[in-house]
Amino acid sequence: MTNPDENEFELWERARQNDGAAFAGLFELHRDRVFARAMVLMENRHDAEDVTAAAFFELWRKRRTVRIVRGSALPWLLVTTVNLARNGRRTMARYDRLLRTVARSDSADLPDAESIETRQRLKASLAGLAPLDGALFVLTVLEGLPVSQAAEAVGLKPATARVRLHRVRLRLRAELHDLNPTIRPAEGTFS
Amino acid sequence: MTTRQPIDRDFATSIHAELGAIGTTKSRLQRRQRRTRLALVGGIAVGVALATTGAAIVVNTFPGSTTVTPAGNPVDSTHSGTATVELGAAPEGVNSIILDITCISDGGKISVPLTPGTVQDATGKVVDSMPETAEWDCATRSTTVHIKDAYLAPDATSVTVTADPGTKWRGVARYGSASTSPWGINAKGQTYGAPNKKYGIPDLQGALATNGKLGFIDTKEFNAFHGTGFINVYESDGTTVIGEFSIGTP
Repeated sequence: MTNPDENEFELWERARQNDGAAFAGLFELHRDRVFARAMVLMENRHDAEDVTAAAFFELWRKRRTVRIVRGSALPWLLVTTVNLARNGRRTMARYDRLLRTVARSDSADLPDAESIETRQRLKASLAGLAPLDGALFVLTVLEGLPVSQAAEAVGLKPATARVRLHRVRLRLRAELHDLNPTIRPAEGTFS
Repeated sequence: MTTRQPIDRDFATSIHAELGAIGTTKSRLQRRQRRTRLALVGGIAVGVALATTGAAIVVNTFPGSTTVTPAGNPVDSTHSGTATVELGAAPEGVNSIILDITCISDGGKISVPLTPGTVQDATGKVVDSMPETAEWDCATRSTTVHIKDAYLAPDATSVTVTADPGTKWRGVARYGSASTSPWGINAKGQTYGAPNKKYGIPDLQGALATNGKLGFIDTKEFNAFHGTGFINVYESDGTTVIGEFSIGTP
């Protein structure tokens, strides 16, 4: 996967100045990772696509306050994806009209029953967590980010994040114990 | 076990194009945001109007308000389509153009460059400026549009109004000298007052509650709010709730 490098930092500097090409570039860079995360959290492909698009639209809308971690917007995008998937109806409504007019092919591959159950239970568990804890869990356990970076992404001190994560792990381990193999870490590492 | 599926190619292409259009007039995202912003600015404008008619609060004492003092003689001219309004030599100390535009045609878009707005970082510090325009369509606005902060570029003596070809309009323009009063600061250290182009957006910004009371909405609450509904309107202490502010509902 692409490294978050100076290129992305430059892209972000331009994006902050309302540069469309820069936002399109960030979309190319991170869309697969964001979509993959949305797919695990949403009921179907169509909704996952909507959440992916909305995460990037939000990146634009909140460009003045987005937290960039180690030169990358990806952690912020992932946190936003989780939040949109959790309770994004109001935010999604903002983009409803736009998304309804977006062209897409009709292919609808049905996920297997097991993965449906996994995502439903994962979603239910996340819904029971405070938004911050949910975001921390997804960034560290599912996306493989170091705690320090995840903490930075959600605006916590690393020590505080560690304590919260510990509690979340204990709780989710109990709730999702039998599904353990289906929770996979992200491919590659985030440097 | 889920197999990783790629994002739909057509969908991705469309979103890529939509993001790429940001910063251009084709951007539907920006059009959407302008509508939302107008709703808020409308709320503030109505609030100020109410305050002046009720004579309870004088507009000029609203902290952070910008007062524009006219300078020089007005130039009255009629144009068709895009045109530059020339004002002649600029008096000392002017920094904006006051422009009253009236549509003569029944339709066609008009756009006027405004004094650039500010870009603030997370702490509220002004770090950059951002071009702004006032835009409307003669089909929906036939009465005069009063613009007190049309952009006067450094050393310029004119302003260019962009209009659709064939759209006739009348403009009365004169130089202006804008000055902005400082925001108030409450006991909690929050700034309160009117958003302005000099300092940006205060922590608490003036807004009209649905019950007709004039107060302040918390900028953080406003930014965090998604969709349509209501947020609190406070007194300048940022704590006492005096009403609610409607977002996105007509």
